[in-house]
Amino acid sequence: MGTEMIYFDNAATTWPKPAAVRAGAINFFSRYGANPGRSGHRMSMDAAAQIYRCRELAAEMFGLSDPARVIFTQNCTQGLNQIIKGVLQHGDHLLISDLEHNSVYRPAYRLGQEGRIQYDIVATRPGNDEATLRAFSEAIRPNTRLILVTHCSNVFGFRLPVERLCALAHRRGVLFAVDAAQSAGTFPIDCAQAGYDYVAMPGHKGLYGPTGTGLLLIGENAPLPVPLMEGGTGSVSRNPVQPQELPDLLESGTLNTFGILGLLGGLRFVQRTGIRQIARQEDILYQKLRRNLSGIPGVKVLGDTAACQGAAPVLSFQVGGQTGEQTAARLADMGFALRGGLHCAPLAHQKMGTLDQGTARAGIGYFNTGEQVDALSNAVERLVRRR
Amino acid sequence: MPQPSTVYLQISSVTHAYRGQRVLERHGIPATVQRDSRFASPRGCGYQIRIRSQDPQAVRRLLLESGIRVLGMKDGDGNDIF
Repeated sequence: MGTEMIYFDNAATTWPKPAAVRAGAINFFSRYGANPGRSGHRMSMDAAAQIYRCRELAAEMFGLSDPARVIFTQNCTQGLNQIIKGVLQHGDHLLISDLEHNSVYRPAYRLGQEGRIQYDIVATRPGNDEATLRAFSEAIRPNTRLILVTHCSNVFGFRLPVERLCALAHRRGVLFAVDAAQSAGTFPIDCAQAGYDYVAMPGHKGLYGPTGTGLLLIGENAPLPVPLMEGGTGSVSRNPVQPQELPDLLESGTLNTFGILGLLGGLRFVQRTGIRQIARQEDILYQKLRRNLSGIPGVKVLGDTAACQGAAPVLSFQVGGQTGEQTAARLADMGFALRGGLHCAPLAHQKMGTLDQGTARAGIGYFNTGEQVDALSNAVERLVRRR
Repeated sequence: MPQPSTVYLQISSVTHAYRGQRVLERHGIPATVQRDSRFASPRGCGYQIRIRSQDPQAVRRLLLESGIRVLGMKDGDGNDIF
């Protein structure tokens, strides 16, 4: 990316990365390049200690008392697949929301097509938590094993009442999982307090780590999923059976030390800055952008005020009859990085009536400024005039 | 009163070895994670927690209470003591 580009694609991956992330990742080349958890020499032990420190900090930030319940993944999608394919058994019923990303929808769809599970897509009512809760409650069946929902829509930012949905699920004997792709690092997530069974999150979005990193959190009382992958774990090597202890059960093969060291820097940045401070600052910019774009004739900002109350700082809009892809491409020509299209979330677009045209999406991050928001707003205004 | 001696606690994985180290240090017991084949048990990962203690069984119980399995214990000469 050129230095002139103003970056608003933070919902895809955050940029720039804090200095601590760069420093952590660079440490891989100078100090921690050996395989962690396999050998006994100094560099291997030092690398393993850093990996453990990252687990420990993630556990502390997300309300887990046992760092072994923090599983490293390559992204949020891997964690979500692990939950869906590792928890559900033949004949089980799954509930997902109508805001889900393809990382939930596609695995559910395939398992459904193959007759291995049944699933239903529940219509949410962003801005009306009671109605959303009622819809989920009514959709639970005797064989419902799992409710898996996104914390916040990756297209429209709508925030679902995950704490209350989790309580509902547990009252009805159903497991509960959260896709925290857009919320980890932006909103507090406390596994112990909320009782989540599984939480999947990327390392490279709100946690500011490098791409290729993610976390899967396994709640204290959650059943252990069947692993998607088996192999070397550096433990009980004589036994042909995959170790049943976490994290080894779900972590086969050499870990992404480079990425995890960067992620450790990202977690430290988020912890030091404070999640509430990050949320406050991003929300100020989000509200400003929302006001600015809403005031431009010919621009349609998706999601009404009630639906976007407490939303993640992700804003979708349309400019006249342009497709989202066209708008994003024209803004890129003007020096702005946004994403256009369907954002891998056709269900959410179907819900909002934007499936054909798509949207341009601005994802706000901690490093954006009010001046950048004004600059983007002015650019969108120029686009409208140019039509 | 017996003098503290070096004990090697065999743990199931490197993650649990570090977990165990933290537990022991919270209880004021200095502990080091290492991997040394002389003190390894065939059941484990080869990682040990090294401590100095008068009462290794009490340390083992402490780890067990925190959900950390001790697969074996050896003294400083590599002899099994559990």
